[in-house]
Amino acid sequence: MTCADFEKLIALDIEGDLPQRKAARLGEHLETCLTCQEFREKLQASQALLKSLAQEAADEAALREVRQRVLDEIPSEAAPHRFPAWRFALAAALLAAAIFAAVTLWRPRGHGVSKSIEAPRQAATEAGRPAPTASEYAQAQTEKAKHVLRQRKPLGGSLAASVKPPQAEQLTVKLVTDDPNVVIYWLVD
Amino acid sequence: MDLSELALRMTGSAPEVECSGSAEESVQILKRAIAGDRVAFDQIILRYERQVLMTAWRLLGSREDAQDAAQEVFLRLYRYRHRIDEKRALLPWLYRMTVNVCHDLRRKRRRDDALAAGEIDLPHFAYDPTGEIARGEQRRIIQAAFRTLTEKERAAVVLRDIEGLGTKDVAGILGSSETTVRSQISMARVKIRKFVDTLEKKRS
Repeated sequence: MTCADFEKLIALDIEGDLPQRKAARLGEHLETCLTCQEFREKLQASQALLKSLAQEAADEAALREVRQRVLDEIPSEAAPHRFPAWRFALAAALLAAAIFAAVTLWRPRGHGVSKSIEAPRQAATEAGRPAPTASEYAQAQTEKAKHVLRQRKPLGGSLAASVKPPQAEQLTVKLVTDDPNVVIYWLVD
Repeated sequence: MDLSELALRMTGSAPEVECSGSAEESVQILKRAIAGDRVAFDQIILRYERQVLMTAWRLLGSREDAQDAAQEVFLRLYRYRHRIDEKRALLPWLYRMTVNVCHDLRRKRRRDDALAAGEIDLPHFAYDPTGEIARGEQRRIIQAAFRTLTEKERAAVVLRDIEGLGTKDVAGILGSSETTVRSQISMARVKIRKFVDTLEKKRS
């Protein structure tokens, strides 16, 4: 190896980058070579100069300018989306569904009865009879339904044949009438 | 110790914000920045701007170019933030991006080294090897010496000797083997020494 080769090893050894085996060989050479010893000393000086740059203070004005330029380039919509827009949409849809369900299902009882018996009350008033109460009206409606069912012809076996037994997954409403031959099934899909 | 801590400890030039924040806090800030939090992203810039700008400045040799490069690095960080692994230190990614951006900028502007053009321009100052050299003059000497290095040698020596990273970390950032990086560092140190020798002879 020439001194030029050893210079490269010195350049690594000076910062501890040289493997131990090569460092030992370099040590042996340095013991006898004044030129390489001098090069090593000079290299130490230039390395100190180089590493002193690490302590160099940054140019604050340059840093500030870069920071501002970067932030100016970033789109303003980059604001944090802690609660994404789709969640707002979902929440609004759920709220709307809840309101719709409440309005559809909730009907005040008193209001419904008075509305259904409004017509008979009006008719009774016009005929000069006393207007029926809500309970009287309900009882009359029940009797009317029973009367209609009694007047129907018995369907006999034909109905039994046409009506299929309810399936397990279907909601079935069974209505038993006074006539043992008449059984009404409501099959709700 | 992760790479950023190592770099900061070795250079001894970490900004206060880096030292004050815990690792967990850093992860949280990075997570928020990745999620698009502009304030967190601003904190990321504040935390790493010095390393990015100064590295770019040393690689390019010009303040204006370094500012352009640093701006591009942080914009790429924002653009590709979803690709960042929040569990890993951010600084190596930033160093890698800085080296790449500086390479692109240099190629784009076709500003070849003065040495390549045969125009060695020695710094205009009175070199005094026995006296105290002013900090600004030191920078000019090194910056002039850097012109004698290849782009890879310059990147290797800046990251290893000025930013204080280990050879393995430098190899990871530059995408080279440790052997290659050691060779580049060795060549760079010898070239810088010889440049200073030449300067001394011209002045004496």
